[in-house]
Amino acid sequence: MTDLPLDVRGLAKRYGRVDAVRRVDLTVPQGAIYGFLGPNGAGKTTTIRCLLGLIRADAGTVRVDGHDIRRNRRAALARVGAVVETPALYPNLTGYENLQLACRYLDLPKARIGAVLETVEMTRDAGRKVGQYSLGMRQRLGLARALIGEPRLLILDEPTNGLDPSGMRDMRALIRDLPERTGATVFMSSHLLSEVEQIATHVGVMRQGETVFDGAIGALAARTGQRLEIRCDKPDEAVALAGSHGFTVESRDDEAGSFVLSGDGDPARLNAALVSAGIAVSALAPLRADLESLFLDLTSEPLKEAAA
Amino acid sequence: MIRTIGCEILKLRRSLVLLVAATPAVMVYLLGVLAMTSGQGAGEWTVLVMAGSAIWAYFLLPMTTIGLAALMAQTEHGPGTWSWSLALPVPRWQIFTAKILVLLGMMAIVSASVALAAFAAAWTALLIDPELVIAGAPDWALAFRLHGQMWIAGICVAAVQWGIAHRFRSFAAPVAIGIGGTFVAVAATSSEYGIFFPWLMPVNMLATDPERAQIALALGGGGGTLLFVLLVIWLSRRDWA
Repeated sequence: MTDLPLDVRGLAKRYGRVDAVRRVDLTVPQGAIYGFLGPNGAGKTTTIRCLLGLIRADAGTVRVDGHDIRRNRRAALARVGAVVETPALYPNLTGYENLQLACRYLDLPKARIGAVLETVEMTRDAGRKVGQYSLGMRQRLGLARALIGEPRLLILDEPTNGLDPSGMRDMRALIRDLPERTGATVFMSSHLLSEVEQIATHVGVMRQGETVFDGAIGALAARTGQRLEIRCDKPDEAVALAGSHGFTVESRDDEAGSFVLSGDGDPARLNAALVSAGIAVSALAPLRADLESLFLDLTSEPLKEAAA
Repeated sequence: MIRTIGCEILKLRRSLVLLVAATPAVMVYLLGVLAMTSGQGAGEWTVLVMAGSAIWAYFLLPMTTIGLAALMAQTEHGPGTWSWSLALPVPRWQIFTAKILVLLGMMAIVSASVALAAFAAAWTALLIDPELVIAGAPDWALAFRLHGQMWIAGICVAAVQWGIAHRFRSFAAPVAIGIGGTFVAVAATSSEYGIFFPWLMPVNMLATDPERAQIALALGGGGGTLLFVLLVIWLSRRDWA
């Protein structure tokens, strides 16, 4: 069996009397783009620092590519690329020299520099001093440096932070293509739910130092159950009928003649029943919960119930 | 280890560190030329060497150590820089040791350049004023022995400055402590216990009492090396939050 790029179990870290992280469990499968979400202060940054061995966890295990970060830090980090906080580049050096530095540390051939510069479309600007780069260019170069060791796992902390809308779009497109282009699994923290929704295949949600969800993004959507929006000419009758078919009313808009149902009933049967009852159904559509509402549900419900 | 040292050297390219490293030799050279051509006469070669060494030991060596240690540390104190370098699959002790070796290497080069600058100043003064007479012969051995000993005795102050510069993100902290230490050293030169003060250890190489010089050499070199080892162990083990 192939080792997971990242497997975290029962991670905990305390600073004095404050539990920065209480219990984090993360399973990041090969080839995934894993969105790591949580409100400010949930413990995302502490978790990322533990993943990279920058801080020692008080409890739990972090296995990167099958290697325990505490027992075998070098082997664990050998195939990891990371951009933590802002891309930490040396402004007095050119883009090329910054990558050359990474090559020297990792004992890689200089030929890798050209390849990663091409991946992030920075070949043309590589000879300029990083101090003259825009934030978007720095982000790209930071990503290039993280990719230089052909990592199996790429850890990105808020990769679009501070970018303008077009920079964000470009960076998203770049990240989206990474698993296919480089074979890397991407683990990215973000506070932008729309961003994660657009590119992630898996998500982890943290709240008050604990993981409240860890899994495929589809499984997160399934947690809320089935929701339907119906528009018809006799809403009162329709609502009563929906109740006898396993649905309950979530919300109602009498002016528009529409209502939202949730429940385990069969939408096709309900539709047939409505039509048989002489109700003219102008719309019956399943509602897909967006990540924002799922996130808000997860981060606002009591911890015990929320635990996945 | 050599690869890691190469990385540390590469980081200094086009940085202010190189300017700071070049300054002491230029200052000793200019001061020397001005002093010798100002009508006061040049004296003896031995006196010239001792005068250049004194300026270096009292003032320029500690100030250069402050500048180099603080500026080198500042290259890593930017947002996320430590997170990047310490998350590399390279032993942490190796990264910190490489930094120390580069600092000590630069101090050795600056020491040698200051020794040469004193001689260069004398020759320049002789060119400017052909009637100038410098008694004796250039004592290269004395100059390089003195500067070598000062370099060893200065390891302790380098360790103190390096430790502070790497522990605190602030540029002001190592600079304030360094300047404070340098001025206290000037005031405490004749103190009985001044020999234990890191900023005075290089100055003690000029002491007429050979025992005092030996103690300063042992404390500066041995104590400084021990302090560096402890700092590497501590920095390698601490959390980088």
